[in-house]
Amino acid sequence: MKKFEFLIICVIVFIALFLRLYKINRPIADWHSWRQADTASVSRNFLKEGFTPFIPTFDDMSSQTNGLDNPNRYRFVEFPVYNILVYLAWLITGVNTTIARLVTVVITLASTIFLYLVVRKFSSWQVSALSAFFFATIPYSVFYSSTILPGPFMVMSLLMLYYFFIRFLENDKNWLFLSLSIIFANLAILSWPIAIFFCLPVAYLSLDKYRIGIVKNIKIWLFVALTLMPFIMWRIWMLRFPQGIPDFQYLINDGNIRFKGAFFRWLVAERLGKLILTPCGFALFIIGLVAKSSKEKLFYLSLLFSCLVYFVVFASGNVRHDYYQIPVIPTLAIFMAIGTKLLFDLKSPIFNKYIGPVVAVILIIFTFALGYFEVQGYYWINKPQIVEAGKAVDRLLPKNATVIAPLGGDTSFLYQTNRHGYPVVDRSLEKFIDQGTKYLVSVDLNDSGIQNLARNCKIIGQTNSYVIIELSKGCIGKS
Amino acid sequence: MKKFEIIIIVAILALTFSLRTYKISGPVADWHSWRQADTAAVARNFVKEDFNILYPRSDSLTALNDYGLQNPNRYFINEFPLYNATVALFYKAFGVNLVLARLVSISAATIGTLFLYLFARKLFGSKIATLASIFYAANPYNIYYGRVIMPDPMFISFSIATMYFMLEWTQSKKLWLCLVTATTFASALLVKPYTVFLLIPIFYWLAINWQIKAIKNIQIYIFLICSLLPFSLWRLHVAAHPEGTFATSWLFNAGNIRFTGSFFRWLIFERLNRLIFATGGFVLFAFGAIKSHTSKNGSLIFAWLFSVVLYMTVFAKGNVNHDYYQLPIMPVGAILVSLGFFTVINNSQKYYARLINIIIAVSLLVISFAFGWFEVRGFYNVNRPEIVTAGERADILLPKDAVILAPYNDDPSFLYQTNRYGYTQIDKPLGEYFSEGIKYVVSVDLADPPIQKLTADCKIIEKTDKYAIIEMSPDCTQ
Repeated sequence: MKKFEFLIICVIVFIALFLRLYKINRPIADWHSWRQADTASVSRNFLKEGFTPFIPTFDDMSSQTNGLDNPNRYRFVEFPVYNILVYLAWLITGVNTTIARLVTVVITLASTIFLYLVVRKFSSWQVSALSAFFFATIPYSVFYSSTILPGPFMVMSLLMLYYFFIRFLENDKNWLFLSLSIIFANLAILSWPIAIFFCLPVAYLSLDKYRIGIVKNIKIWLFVALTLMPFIMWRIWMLRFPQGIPDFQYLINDGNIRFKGAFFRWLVAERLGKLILTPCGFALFIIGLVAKSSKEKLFYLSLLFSCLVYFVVFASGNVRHDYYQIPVIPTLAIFMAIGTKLLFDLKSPIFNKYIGPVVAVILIIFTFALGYFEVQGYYWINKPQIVEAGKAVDRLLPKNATVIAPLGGDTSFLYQTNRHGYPVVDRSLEKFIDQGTKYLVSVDLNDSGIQNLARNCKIIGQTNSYVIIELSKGCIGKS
Repeated sequence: MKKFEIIIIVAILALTFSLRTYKISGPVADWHSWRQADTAAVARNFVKEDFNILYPRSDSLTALNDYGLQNPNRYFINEFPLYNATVALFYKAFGVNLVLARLVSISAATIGTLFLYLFARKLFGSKIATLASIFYAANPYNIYYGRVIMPDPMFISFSIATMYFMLEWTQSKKLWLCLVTATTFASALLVKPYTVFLLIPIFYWLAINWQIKAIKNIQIYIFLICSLLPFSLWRLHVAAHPEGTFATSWLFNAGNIRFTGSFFRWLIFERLNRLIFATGGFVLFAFGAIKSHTSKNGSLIFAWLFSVVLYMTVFAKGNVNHDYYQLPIMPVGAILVSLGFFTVINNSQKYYARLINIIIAVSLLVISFAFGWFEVRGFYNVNRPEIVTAGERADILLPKDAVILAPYNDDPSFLYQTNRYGYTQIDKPLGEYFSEGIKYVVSVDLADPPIQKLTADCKIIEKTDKYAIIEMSPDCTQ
């Protein structure tokens, strides 16, 4: 790598870091805080209850994820690789939301660097730098780069997988790069199984190099076997804890949404055209997409094809949750970069030669401006009272108490209490008491049921924002 | 022109016309019905009162001007009422019927499509012209605003015709073409003064074709005089009757909105991207814009686009507030979408890459139509049908010469349904209205306390759970 390229990467990484520090100390009460709370609670429980990576637990004891009671709070979704990283950081600093967010920030900085390195294998330094720059600066990407979610870690692992696999293909006698590829493929798939879709470019690269000879290539088969085996073992292991496995069928094609008008409208207009790329970035993306093809571009198209297959298979998941589009950011950034480069190279005999670059810069500025407009609200803490109430619970209630912290099933409230319990009232209050849960904390003071309990039961703490109630069988039936 | 091409053109024109007949008989109670009601009232009053094109009158006595002047004659002296007069001619022949008013707009839009085809064909050939005119014909936003009872469809069609005749004139330098161009331009200018921005592409084209010799060409001056004189005279007439104008000063930069974040967000994101070109079309539009300036003929489109952007910047608040203000982008936008479409397709000659590009371009076009329809379909909804019912009943029950109060938040579309003159809001004590000889109130806002008091105290001519027609008396308006 040339010196100036190193300098460019440093500048981009610095910009990326600077942007990601925006509101880095916000509590887990921002956008998609429920998923962040679930993830953070696994790390916190490693610290509180012992490091058991093969039996991760979160705070939620309710049956809301799959209808089964989950008193042991099993959390069997992804293998907790990312949660372990947060746990390791917390071993040094103690439980701290900002530190967890910084772990993600560092992960995405690594992604920025590896995106540059991967693209540099196929394209010019300008396209590589622009790809890394867009990945570093698109407001949607910036927000999710400081969330406590496994998605960014999966993206980093995938980019590292691509890089090391390309290096391996350059010299397939090199076991180090093959080993690293296997490691990062594992980390990607274990941290978020949808990474399997994004292994398609690896298949393309292998086929491109070995053609039909791939069937006899032992190293490739080794790669496939060692990549899939840990994941399969994890899935088999999970089956022993069915109460900890959330339903995922609804992520596939809930409401038969796939290929309906709403499917396209949500993914194309709302997500790509509004939230992630905005209309201007979407235009740059399409310009990049239809730019003159080169053989190298096939790798990028294979990336895009992975994204499309993923969108189609996990149709309702992608429509429902905007964080499901985290894995496609690198692909979008690459095509935006190609589109920008094309505009910079546009020549005109009629107008000034700077018009192409000027249009590109205008499109980029509007991508940031409109993107920030969409994402700014994601940082907001719309219910600060859950943080306040959570702290009060942590102060006032016994450490081993389990609590009911209802927030429509959203675990972010429960997380603030630093207790295990229930984010939803999924059984009768009597049953809660029978099962040993006698504290209820609520921020919904206008709810008549809560008002009734507050009138008749023992109040542990109360302000204008919340109430902490000690339930007893004598008080819950009164009106 | 070959036979096949003529068939294509006829098919596109038929498409333009037929798509705009969707809900053609709907009442003036759909999207932007307030502006439609004023326009339709002027046409109806040409038939009901005197057909004096210099003194168009609406139904509303509520003054709209910037100067706080009363408007007892209900003058509506803003745009020159060319559209309204055309509608009135049909009304004279066939009777007052909203379908006729919409048909005038639809016909204007259809003629506009024809000129768009001719214009684009002359610059880029029939392939690009065909797609541009198909996009113009079938774009949902343009379909809706191609059938409204507003002067805008006529204004846009005159603008496109001007651009086409300007091309012919520039090429041939014939005086009669100069005069035809001036006539269409003058007509467009009279119908909507925003046409003045069209001078930018016109003079750009004259400058790059005739170069410096243009200033010595007498035709330039004939064009300017013929096109600007009628407009100047009309503006003098408008200035003489300020009470009949509507407030326009806010259209420029009310709230200092120009160049703020919301200005860009509204115009680029909400309007161009979401409503008009609908995501997929916006990408093709951007492609076309980027591509256009790379050729001489394309640069005219670029200059035209620049003039529209300048118009949006000057009339910043008007454009942010009203989506129909963006109608001037449609012809230039349709051409740019078409240019973008073929740029995408032709970007690669390799078989598989070209196939992918075709799929992408067609997908973007389909997305544009589908998402555009998703945005526009609600425009046709009549959200408050009770204003139509109440208006029809008032027309039956009240004396023909009665002047009435039809409060509807200053929106004349309710008053229009009653087929009476009157006020569109109550902004002074009812006793004062009564002393002016106004004794009828028609209301669809029965939860409003003053209306409830009236229905309790005054004589009820008719009342349902949706509306009330009330006759006031001195006693009950105390």
